[in-house]
Amino acid sequence: MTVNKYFQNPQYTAAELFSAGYCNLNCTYCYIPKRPFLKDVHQGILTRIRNGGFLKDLKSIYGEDLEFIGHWGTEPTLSIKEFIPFYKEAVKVFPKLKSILMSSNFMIDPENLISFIRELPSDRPLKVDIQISLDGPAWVTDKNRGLGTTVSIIENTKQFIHAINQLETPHDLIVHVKPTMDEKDISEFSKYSRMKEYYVFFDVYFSELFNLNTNNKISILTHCDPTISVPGNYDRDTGINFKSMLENQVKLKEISWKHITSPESAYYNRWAHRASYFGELFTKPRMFTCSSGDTQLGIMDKSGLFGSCHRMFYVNNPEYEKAVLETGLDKTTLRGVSTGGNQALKEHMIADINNGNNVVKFLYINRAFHDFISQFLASGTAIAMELAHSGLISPCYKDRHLATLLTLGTKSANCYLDEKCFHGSSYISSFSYFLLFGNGYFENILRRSLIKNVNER
Amino acid sequence: MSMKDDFTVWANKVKRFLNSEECLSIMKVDHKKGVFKVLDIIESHYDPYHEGYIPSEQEVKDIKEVAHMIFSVLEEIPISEDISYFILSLIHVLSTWNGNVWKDADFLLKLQYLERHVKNELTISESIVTLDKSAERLRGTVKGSNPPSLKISEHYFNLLEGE
Repeated sequence: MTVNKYFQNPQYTAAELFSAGYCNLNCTYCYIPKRPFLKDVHQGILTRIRNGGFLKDLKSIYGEDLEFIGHWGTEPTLSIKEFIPFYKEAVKVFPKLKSILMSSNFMIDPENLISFIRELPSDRPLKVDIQISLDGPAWVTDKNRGLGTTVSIIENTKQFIHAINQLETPHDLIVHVKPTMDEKDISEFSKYSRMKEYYVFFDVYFSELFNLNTNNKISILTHCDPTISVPGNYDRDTGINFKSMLENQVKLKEISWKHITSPESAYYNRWAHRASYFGELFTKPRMFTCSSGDTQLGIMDKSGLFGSCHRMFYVNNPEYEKAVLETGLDKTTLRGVSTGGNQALKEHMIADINNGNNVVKFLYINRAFHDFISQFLASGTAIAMELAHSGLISPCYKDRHLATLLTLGTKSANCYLDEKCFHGSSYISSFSYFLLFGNGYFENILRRSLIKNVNER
Repeated sequence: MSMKDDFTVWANKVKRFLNSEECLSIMKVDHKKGVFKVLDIIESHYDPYHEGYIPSEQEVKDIKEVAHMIFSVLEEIPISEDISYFILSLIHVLSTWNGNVWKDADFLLKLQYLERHVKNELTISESIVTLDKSAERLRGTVKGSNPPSLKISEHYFNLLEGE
């Protein structure tokens, strides 16, 4: 019985596949301890690709309803060539399949990705969306991803764009960048000159990509606003820097940029987009939550198992938990292990498709989070008001209504599975995001989105 | 008073509302633009007025859309005094134009119905039809907000019972 059989209409149409178990980089903000057991995980994944295990599980979980496949885990191009026979079969088994997504650090020979696209079955056009993990100029990317990575990523993406432009493919190819920043980067971006340097870097980068896209074989999306690393441990000072950074972005909008989308906060765009649906906040709250466990599931490395999304991939691996306890790298899991939150994640947010009761319980818990928002808003409002009274966020959040809006605002950044691990409940937001957004940043976003809304009407 | 002068007086009343704060509460920007456009179209028909002028299909379509928009407003939004005054002014502009230019009997009936609606003078049978439509829309809203979790709850409660 597929997961969608429990509903009137198919709810789950997207899969995040655990596609690679170890990584070729060791980024500063990555929470996964780079231990030898990751190679074993990767080997298990390769076996599952080769023996048809993934395909079998996808059929059992989604039936014919699968539309989107995302390759997640660590670096997907480490195994992407292995997926060619998988897709030859998948386009037949899943008649609605229309989109493939992956995020690559482009630190591996781009030929892996090029040959994957070349050999994708041409039965029907698929949308192939490739996210480039590039954080900005060398002083950001090299710091986060390792010395020399900036130059390598640029060269490899250029090589990729050039090669794709020589290909005849029926598929609709898209690339976009996904820059990630930690608290140190936010501190740098709070200086106007640094923020400008960042956008100039991407303007030049995109101009080079456009020059290579001679046959327009790829749609190059030009937004490049940085996003925060999640999970993150943000404090009040970072929140103040975050606000200064946003002010710099707004100032930089005045420059006429040639190749990039005008600078803006990625979170402003998310908020402004959602604002137009506020009338449906309590009737369709799922429009305001993440797609994890709502429309998508994470397909694990063990037969039959799936979780809410890629966040669950390592959760039930005892070696992972052991490595976290030894290294202290994954602070959320570390706390979750001591408080029991991690155990709650294992029990509630992972299910076995071959165990009906297990699946029903999983769906019940995940749907409850996405379909009802009052509890989340109530707890968040109380936390925000308390923080405002303590002087840790702006005093305006002593107002109940503004505190509720801030709670909703933080929802565009936080992860309900991290919250469950950390607090034992998905309905409680971490202080971290209130401190980050509640020190001027969200007020700015709110004010501008209201003005925009009035002007549009 | 000439046809053009009469139009100008009533069109100004409509425009005054369109430029007011309250307009934002009942109309989207596209609708607002649509009303302004229709006022321009009608003005062009009076300037100068030609007896027997046949409006283009597009012009009629734009004007009918505005009448339809008023209908939606009446169905969905509590009508304040200012909104009522705006709608009656607009109905006056449209029905005068219909009497002089388009001369369409169905459109006239529709405008008369809208006028009765604003003035709370609907007949019993018209009220029943209106309520029926409102109920249908409400059913749609309830169905639309029917969260998938309700369906899974049935299965979950069965499971608990079984345990």
